Amino acid sequence: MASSDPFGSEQDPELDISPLIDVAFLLLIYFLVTTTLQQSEADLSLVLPGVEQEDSKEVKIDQMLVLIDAQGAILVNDEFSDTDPNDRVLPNLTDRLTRYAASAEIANTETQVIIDCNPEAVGQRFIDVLNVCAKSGVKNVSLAN
Amino acid sequence: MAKRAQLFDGPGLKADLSPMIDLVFLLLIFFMVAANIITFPKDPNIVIPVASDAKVPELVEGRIVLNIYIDGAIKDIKGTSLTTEEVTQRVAAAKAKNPNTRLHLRAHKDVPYRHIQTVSRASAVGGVPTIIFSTYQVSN
Repeated sequence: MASSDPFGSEQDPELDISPLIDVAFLLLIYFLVTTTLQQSEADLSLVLPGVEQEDSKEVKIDQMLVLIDAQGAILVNDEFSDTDPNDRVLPNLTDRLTRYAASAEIANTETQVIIDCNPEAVGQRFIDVLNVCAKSGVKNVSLAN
Repeated sequence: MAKRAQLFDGPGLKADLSPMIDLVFLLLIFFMVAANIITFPKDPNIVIPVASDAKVPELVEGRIVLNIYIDGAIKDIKGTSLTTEEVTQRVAAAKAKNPNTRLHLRAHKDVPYRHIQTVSRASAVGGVPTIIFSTYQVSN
């Protein structure tokens, strides 16, 4: 009689889940190895106070005009500052804007930098200048037409 | 000795792993769903510029993400091409729904600045003056 019972009469049926765990870990390892980590993107923000017009560019005492020419050279208030287009750090502009921000803080005035970028300059150069503004603590950045 | 042997000779201790597996799958599903909420698809054809002082955001809600390709084409994250007027309309519509709307630009690092300027101006016309540029964070 005992042999007619297909499940066995003495033991409870059990589901062996160890192959499932094996597969789950194999999949995990597969994805860990094959995944290429995408570098996370960071933010550099700019708040436009309004698009500046050409005739509104009169230089106030605490206003600085940063011009980017088509080749990527940087001019601050019409003086050449950084001319190497492959230099991402812009040491002269950084130094100048840092001192500008510090003096504005002492004088309790607002800093304002107007970026006048040549339409043919590459986007990276514009970002370089924006980055220096963020690094130097300049709060108001606007764009000239 | 007899008592000590009895401790280990029985049917054996078995750990029930099924609750752990349930939990792992629940967590997996949660993170898969949550990941779609806090991020957006990034087109690998756009090589974005680098900046050392950019900040990695925690949340990207309330953003209109636009891609600017090296040829100046403007597309949204679904790949739909947009004209300047459509950018303005889209920005204005989003602003009407959410006053904290910001424009998130993923511009190719070598795109001429005039394309960035065009989109920035369209955004300002649509009432969204805050523009966020995507950059890779690098240390100097």
